[in-house]
Amino acid sequence: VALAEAAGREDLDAGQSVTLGLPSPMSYELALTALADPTRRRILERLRGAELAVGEIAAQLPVSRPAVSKHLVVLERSRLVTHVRVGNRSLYRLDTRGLEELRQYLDDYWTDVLSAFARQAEAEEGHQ
Amino acid sequence: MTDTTVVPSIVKTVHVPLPVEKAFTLFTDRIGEWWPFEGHSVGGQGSTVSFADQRRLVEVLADGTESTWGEVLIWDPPRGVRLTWHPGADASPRQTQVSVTFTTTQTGTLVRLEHSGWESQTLDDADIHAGYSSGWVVVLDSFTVAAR
Repeated sequence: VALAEAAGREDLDAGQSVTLGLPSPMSYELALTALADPTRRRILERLRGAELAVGEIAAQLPVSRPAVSKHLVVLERSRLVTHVRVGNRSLYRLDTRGLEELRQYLDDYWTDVLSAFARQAEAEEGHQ
Repeated sequence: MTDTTVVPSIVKTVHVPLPVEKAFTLFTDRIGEWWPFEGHSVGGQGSTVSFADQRRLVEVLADGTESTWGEVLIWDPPRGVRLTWHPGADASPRQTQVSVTFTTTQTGTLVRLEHSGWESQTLDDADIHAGYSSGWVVVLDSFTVAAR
């Protein structure tokens, strides 16, 4: 029991940044960085439609359990993954907040780019 | 539901009053003339960007440093261009991709941009259906209406 509690505290520490305050304006960058890694994308795939413990995720990947734990910390900081405590187990699942922030950033990004393009195109058309 | 990616593609469209050839040229060969560098590039103001040899999209910063945003996968004037997309990062085997297509309309050209490939791994149908919680539906709906 003592071991389980210690592990539980460790998990809570890892997830602490998720619950702290308001989203950082740079939060989409965390998601971008997190998604740049193939293993972390694999972990996200595994978590689609499933709540899994660290060991269950690691069992399906060519990566050690400690490595999966580290990846989960990154994913959780990026708000792409969150976890729930069930008894003495931590079950990880997808967190849509990080994706929404990333999506919003990219949406704004491409809107700006296409708007700049359209302005230039309209200026050209006016000169014809 | 055919989208099998964790992050669905972003699709944006814009209509411009130029013939398709001119729209393609403005978007590609002349990209440095209109790209919004501030907040949309590695170096910000003072940078330039161009499709080098129609093979790579390269930003040149004010100090001369080069930053490759992506490699051209398809160069098909005036119909479209497709490139990998990894500004500010090294190329990786599973980077995202940007496609831009140009379609003639009665009054100009419809430009459609799609940013995709966050996941190249597809999942089987069971995984996909199980994965779409109500939260996902909300996200996907908001993404769909984003195209203007």
